[in-house]
Amino acid sequence: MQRANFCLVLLCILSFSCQQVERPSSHTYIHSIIDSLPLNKTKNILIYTINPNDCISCIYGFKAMNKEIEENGNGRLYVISVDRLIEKNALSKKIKDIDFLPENDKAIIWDKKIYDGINVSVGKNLPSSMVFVYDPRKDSILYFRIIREVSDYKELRKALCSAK
Amino acid sequence: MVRYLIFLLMLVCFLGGCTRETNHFHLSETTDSVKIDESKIVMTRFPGGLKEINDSIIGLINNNQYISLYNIVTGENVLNFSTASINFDSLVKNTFQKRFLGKRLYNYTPESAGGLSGGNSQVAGFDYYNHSFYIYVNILVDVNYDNDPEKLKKLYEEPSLKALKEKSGDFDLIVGEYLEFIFITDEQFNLTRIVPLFERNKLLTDDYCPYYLKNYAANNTALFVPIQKNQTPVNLHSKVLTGSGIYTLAKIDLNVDEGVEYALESKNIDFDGYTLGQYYSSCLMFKSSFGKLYFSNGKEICEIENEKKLFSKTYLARNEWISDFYSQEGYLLLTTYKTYKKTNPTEMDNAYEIDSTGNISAKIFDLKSQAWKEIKEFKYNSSKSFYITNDKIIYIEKGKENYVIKTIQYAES
Repeated sequence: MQRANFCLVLLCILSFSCQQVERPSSHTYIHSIIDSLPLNKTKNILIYTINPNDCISCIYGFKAMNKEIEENGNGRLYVISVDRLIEKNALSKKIKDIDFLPENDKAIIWDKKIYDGINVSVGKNLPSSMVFVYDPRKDSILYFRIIREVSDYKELRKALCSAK
Repeated sequence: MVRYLIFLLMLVCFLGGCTRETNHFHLSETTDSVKIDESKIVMTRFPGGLKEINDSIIGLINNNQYISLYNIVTGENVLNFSTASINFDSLVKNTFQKRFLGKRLYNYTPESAGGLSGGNSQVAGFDYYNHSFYIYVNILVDVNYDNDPEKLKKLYEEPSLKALKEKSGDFDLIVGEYLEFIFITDEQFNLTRIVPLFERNKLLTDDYCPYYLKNYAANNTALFVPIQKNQTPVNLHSKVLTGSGIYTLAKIDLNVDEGVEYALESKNIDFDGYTLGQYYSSCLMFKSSFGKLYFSNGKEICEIENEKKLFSKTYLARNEWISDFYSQEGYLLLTTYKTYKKTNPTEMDNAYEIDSTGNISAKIFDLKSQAWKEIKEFKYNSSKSFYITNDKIIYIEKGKENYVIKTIQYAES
């Protein structure tokens, strides 16, 4: 019953978690990461922080979202919370939902510290996979949400298209 | 005269032997370490559920998908259990769906079960008893309760759902729910039986929820599992309900669907002041020694059968918690850790009561004199997960590129 209650609470969070959140400027940590990457910095950038062990209930959300937002043509960064080479090799073969092939305007970082750094920069330090929309021109986060809590892509898409 | 002196000497030695105090246990100064073999299973998360299977083999939960057995001397991965060959769709139809036929609709989709790193279920716990493994497996399913008005009514009593209904009107309710199973195997992980862990009416009526995920102890035909009185709404800052007539454990019969007995009244093991958050984050441990089964709630240790307290929380600092223990004759071996409030907690730290962990120690407690005899602090902080056996303390550490099994011997002197 307690577990069912948790699911219900989650359902409600899903229903009410549609507000777009604007964070103040000077997210210099994300700026320092993005700066050296070959991503188009004239448009907003989609950032996923992925914990491969987290997504029991977020996998559908991530799959659908990744596909849905793809057409917008924004740069995207995947930060995966894995450090060891042996893990990286094993997971590269296992994870089918991220295209690891090199591509313009896409970057993949395997680094737990960077994963933690980005999540902590918005006050989330649980091992939860998250999605961010970052405006590199203003060094500002326009949207962030734990992936399994995203229920409405309209807000995400709106943030991706918006210029602050 | 010489003969008299020898006799006197012998007498002194004999008397000395008779009055000798009980032997003391001592922790070894050295720590043995061996690299874990990842040729078969790559560890993509810190392994959990550490348990000793025999003198040379330990078991670990890997990636929430495997129970892996390792030789603690060589680090070799000798055997792995997984649910890869299990057809959960059919299992759900033949268990939960059959039981609630016409009332509830269960929908299992394998893609959601294992997350991004694959798998068709979560392998999240195990116990080893009498040459058998009792493995806890859960799967996430969608449940439609439209034809179960009784349950539906209860669900809609949830305040947040009530509010949603008032705001948005009627809506289709699909509940994401975990279905739980115990897979029983032999020593070679050959599956002998799958037991669906149906809700027990007695627990439902008395408003208890069993927490198999926290831990359990197998005992041939039954499982001892921690239980908790339901609280609505769920709030991690709420106090755990304790007192006379409230129980901390349930004995779940694995042969009878409705078979359940209560054990260990909460008045005999102190949960006073525990918040739900502390309950969920503490190490609830079961341990057998000398034929007796003990339970620790993270602060105190009790023998389950006669509810006798073996260790009281008065010997721990206020912020100190037990992570594991082993009862020797006259002594207790414990590993403990301390929690500290963070200086700059994030909103999640506050919401989930996440504290910093430190001062991880191995300790020896003399039950006769009720005093600490030896304390050894660990200088690392990667996990509070230890396993104490009858002669050693085992733990896992993660290095830059490898995981290692570490052991500290202890012995009588």
